[in-house]
Amino acid sequence: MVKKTQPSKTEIEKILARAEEHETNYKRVLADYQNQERRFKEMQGQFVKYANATLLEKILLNIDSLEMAQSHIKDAGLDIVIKQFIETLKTEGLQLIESDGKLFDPKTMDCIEVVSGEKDKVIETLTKGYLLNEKVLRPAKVKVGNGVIARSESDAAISQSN
Amino acid sequence: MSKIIGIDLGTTNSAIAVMEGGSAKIIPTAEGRNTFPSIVEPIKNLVGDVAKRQMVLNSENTIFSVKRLMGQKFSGKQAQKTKEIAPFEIAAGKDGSAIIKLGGKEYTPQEISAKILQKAKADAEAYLGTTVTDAVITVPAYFDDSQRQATKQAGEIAGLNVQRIVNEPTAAALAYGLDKGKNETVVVYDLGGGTFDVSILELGDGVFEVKSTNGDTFLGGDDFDHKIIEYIVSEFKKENGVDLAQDKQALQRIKDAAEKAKIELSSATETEVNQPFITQRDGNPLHLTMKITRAKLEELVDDLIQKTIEPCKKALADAKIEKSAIGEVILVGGMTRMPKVQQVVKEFFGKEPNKSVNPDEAVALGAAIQGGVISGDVKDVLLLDVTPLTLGIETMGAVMTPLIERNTTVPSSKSQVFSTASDNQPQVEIHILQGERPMASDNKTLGSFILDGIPAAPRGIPQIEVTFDIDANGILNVSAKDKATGKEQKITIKNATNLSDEEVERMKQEAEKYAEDDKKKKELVDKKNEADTLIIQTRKVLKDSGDKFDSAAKEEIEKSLNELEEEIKKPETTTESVDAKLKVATELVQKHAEALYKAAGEKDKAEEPKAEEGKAEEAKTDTKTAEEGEVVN
Repeated sequence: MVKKTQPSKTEIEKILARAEEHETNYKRVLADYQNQERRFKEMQGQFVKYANATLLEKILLNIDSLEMAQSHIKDAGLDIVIKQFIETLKTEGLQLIESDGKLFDPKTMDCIEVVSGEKDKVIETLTKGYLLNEKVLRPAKVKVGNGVIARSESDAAISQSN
Repeated sequence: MSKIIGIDLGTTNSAIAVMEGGSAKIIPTAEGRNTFPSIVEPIKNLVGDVAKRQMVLNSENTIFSVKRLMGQKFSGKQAQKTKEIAPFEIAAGKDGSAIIKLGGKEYTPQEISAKILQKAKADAEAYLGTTVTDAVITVPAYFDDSQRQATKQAGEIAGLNVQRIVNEPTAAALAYGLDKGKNETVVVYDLGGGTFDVSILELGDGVFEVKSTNGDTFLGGDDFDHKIIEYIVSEFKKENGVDLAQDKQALQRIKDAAEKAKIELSSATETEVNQPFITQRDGNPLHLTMKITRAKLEELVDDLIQKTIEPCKKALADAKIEKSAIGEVILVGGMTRMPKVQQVVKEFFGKEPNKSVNPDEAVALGAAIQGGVISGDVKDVLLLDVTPLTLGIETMGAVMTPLIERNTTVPSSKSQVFSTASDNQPQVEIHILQGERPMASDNKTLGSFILDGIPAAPRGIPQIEVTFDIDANGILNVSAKDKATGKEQKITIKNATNLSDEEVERMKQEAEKYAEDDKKKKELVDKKNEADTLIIQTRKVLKDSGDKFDSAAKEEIEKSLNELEEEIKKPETTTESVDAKLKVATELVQKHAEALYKAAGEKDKAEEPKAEEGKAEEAKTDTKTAEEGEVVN
């Protein structure tokens, strides 16, 4: 008779534990993969939409300079050039963040200075903000009112409403 | 089991990472950035960039650098120093610990940190598409028990099970992959946005021990920015007599420009600051245009960089370690991108610092790796190997045809269908190769076998499917199957990925060195194969067409084919000479074939000229497939 060799109980347990470990690892890797695939699909769309973001950010700096020049020399021709420029960028998904006179919103605006004026209202836009395909590309840099509508500037600077 | 995320809960900025597919990855924030400011406005519940943007407007309700208050007594030095610079109110809470008072409410530093962690959790959940419940959070090595406890509580408030609190330098060392096997002393030099830390770690058997730590809690990138701003303002004043420091709007523009210049000077040696219409004088606009060289920047910030040396000396002394005993110096924090910082570190420690990991992300990545170790993710998944060299087989003309490309992650498998190179070929030899060179003989032979019993058929007709399958242990199985008969042969090659680093390097270098020669050789083989196909196909057509060609034409074509055949066989033949003869023969064949169709068309239009055309087409497509892949006999 051939004697059957039975693996011991602990050995079976060990093997089962290993099998389970491998199954968990397999599932984990599969899940990683599926998530990655899903994200990849999302990213493909995003990639097309936001591929220009870095370039646009740089171009916006140049537009800022053009606008600053325009506010100084006030040339009708240059005005057309700037408008043309912005129109072109609009076709690429760029959109101006309306800020002047609006309620301050930290999601789209960056408060640089608090000045006298209606509370929490944008008193002045220093640099225009822009959205690219509905996402903030660059927040608008603004001055926000402190609630003190004062005649004299110095008063307003000292008193802070709360 | 859900993932354990790693969180670098920083003084100025925080970052999140997770293990994915066996490596740590930074999780982008909802705003699309890799880090976010550790700034909180608890009343409106704003965290990160959004909180930062309303800071000027709402300074007394906006909390930054809360990490400095974690687990501190109000009467303590750290809390008092923070109180001096903070625009928000710091007070004593119950049992004397430092708390923040705002909007008539009291907040513990834990609660504020929890807001930061909540954002981290939410952003991670959005990225992963699942709920996140577990996290590893990092703290400075010098954090004492109460500070660590406070950090853990912050995690709990945010709804996270804090699996472990890890020292920042340890996390950084993990991200640099320093836990593998070696026993050595590691210096972690961390110059961030607002704090400087240096730590000496002793690494042994995968365990990190912090031997000493030192630093300056009020030194960082912001100080560097200030130096540049000061310089620009003073230069402008010298030149134009206008003090831009009085003009908040101008100052804001200079601040942005200074940061940009600082970053640019890490890669360029000179940059230009251009801010047109910065201010006015007597109704005329003034423009700021200024060149800043890297040398100038280094001069401006030299004292700041030198300030990091004293803590380094102290840390070494405390750890009782000689500079010569240091095995590795790693850099953490955005400021370490500055070449001058790297140079000073190198000069002091006498060792080239390791900068292979993004310094802003290292700590979060390391925390994620620690999370992976806890969940068991790392141990098994990290073992995945890649094939160091391309694997392929030899095809017609002694060409190496790749099947599994270099750097493919294993396990992996790939199949491709090949055919025979000559008519009635009864067998094919599968010659398995490893290497990057296009000619078979220049690569390493891993093995070979023969698949026989292929039924007699014209060349290119049999379909031999060759499959490469390489498992996670680097064992390569190659099989070849005749699709017509189902007959199969296979071979197993062990250790197909197991090459020494030197071997891989040598083979890669050779591939580069001989790239030009190899390309020429391959071109010649391709041309020869093309000629060979033309000869065989044309002869077949001549034979099949019987007397449709007149004998003079036949003779002429046959002669050009013979000449072409001789040219191929010449040992000194070149791509150009084969090509010349090939062109002559091709033109001749085309000319006569055209005449033939014309004659056939005139004689009898019903005599299926289309069928003839079809044949000619077929011959053309055959040429293409033959070029690509046929197994040599």
